Amino acid sequence: MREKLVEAKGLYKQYALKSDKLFAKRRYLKAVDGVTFDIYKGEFFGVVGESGCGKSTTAKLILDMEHPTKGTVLFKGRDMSTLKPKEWRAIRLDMQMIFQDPLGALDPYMCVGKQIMEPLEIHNIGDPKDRKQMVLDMLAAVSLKPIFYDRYPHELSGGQRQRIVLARALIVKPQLLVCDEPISALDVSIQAQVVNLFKRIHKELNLTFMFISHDLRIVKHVCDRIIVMYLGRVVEEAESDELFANTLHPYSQALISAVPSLTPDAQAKRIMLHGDPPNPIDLPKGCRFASRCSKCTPRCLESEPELVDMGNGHKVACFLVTGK
Amino acid sequence: MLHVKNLKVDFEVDGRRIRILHGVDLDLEEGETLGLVGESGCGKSVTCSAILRILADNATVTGEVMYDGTDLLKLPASKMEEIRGKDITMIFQDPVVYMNPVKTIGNQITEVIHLHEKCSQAEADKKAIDLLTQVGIPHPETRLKYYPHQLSGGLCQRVMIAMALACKPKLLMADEPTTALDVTVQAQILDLLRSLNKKLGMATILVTHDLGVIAENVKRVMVMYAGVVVEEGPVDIIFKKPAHPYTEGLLNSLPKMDGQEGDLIPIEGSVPAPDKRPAGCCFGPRCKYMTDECLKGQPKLTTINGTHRCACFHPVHGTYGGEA
Repeated sequence: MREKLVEAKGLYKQYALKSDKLFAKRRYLKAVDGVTFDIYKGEFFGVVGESGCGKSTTAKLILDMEHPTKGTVLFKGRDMSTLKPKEWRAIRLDMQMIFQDPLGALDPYMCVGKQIMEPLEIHNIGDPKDRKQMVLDMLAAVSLKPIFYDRYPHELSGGQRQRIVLARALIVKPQLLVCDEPISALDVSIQAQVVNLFKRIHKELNLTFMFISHDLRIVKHVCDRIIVMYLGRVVEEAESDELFANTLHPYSQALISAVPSLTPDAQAKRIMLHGDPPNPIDLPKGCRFASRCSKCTPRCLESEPELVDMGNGHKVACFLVTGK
Repeated sequence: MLHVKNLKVDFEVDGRRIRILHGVDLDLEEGETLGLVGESGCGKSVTCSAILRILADNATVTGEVMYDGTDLLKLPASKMEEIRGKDITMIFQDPVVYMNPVKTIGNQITEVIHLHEKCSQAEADKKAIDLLTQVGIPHPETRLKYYPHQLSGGLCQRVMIAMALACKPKLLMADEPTTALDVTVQAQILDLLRSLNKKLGMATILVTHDLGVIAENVKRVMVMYAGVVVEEGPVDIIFKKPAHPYTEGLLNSLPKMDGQEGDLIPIEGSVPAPDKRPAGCCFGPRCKYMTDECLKGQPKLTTINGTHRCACFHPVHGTYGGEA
């Protein structure tokens, strides 16, 4: 049995909306609406879905940057939200994150070497005399030369900046690295460099990744196991190969077929979705994908399907597939 | 229909002249779809903006843009205004930014109609409704009264397309029209552009960084790198047998959807800044096939086979036809 690093249990996150009337019923935006999954140790775990499906909110809940409205997150078996500040800080060190825009995550007035060193100073790790060497080793680990130590963020290219952000996250030796769209802002020819770096780090450090992306090609390439999210819920969960070879949920099928193929004139098999996702404030009754689903039945409009395990860990939330 | 010859664009920044576009040739026939592909900063958007003469004041454009027998670059500004929006139109990546947030979309569409045609407000409204129907917006009568912020990204892009089509243009330039959209919505918009192109017989230039979008939507493609067209030809040939090492590198760096294991093959290094171009071939320092010959100068775009042309001394497929 593999060891669970993260257990998300029935997570809900609602944001209260401003109302313009004093006694009007308060309305809520349901960003995450009942999400349950586990991340195993050493796994490259992928989260895919379109904008507004709750992938980033889920990541924030895992990192305890946001508190769930309902549900719990266990990291190494412990509930982060019940910890005292001192314990929290110690355990939080084991989870690090990187975001889409590296320039926004770096301090423009500090040379990047100092920025990589900062976490060591804050958490008081290592001997102050050794810290510079630790930073230089880290730079080497992300394939950057020592001369980059004294550079400033504006002097670097997008790919180099993302490497710096990665180095800063890795220097405290975390166990979990949450990456929220880490390569979306990079150019195509640079993406491959950074993706290869992620794969190498994953292998070398036995690090657990939670990799959030809307780019299915990349996710398929790097991830071991994937969840597909739609409007705040997980609609399908499976091993990467299984998900792409045997896609069960109609939404996942449409999502995968919408990825432009690299062979000219291959649009024949595309499943075209109509319209846009419904508003997460006033969700319709029943399955939330029903309004765009070509296989929708009367039952789908009545009640919401649960995530059901079809065996071999492939879970799907669709009446048509599960029959339940 | 459109013949661009030796188009060069210089920008004046801090008293220095920096050349962004180094002599681009482009020919387009009526009803044709042409793809322009390349990474950020390669000059694909600048090419379109230079054709439409909508570049900022610090830009100097030289060369020839022959449209229906007249050189657009020599036209007086007032004549150019008649062509812009009527014969040649353009849509952009982020539709919300290019719309007026305090005017209804109905107002914005009819504004275009009034500018180029003499008609009453009622007639213009009727035309606007027809246009919105044409781009597949449900309930066009009520949507006319909406403001841009009330529409989703996909719908805004449809409104932009409606605006661009208002005067039945002969040429539509689409600059990354789907980059800001989700994949399922991207598939819808590209499908719409394809069907409009067929129905209205207008020529289209599709600018994108996504090779997948190119493969599925155009017949002919031009690959740009650092302000130079490095390869040009039919899509099916270029994707199967790329001649330029850069095109080959781009294709190799993308993960394939049909199961491919192992590391991605990235292009090493990054795109040179416009004011720090290498001597010789602009792709030289990143090219794995580079020889001393490549330092002599920028190779010319020469014929490899039929309409397939490439600017490289040592093409991956075929041979260089020009002088060194």
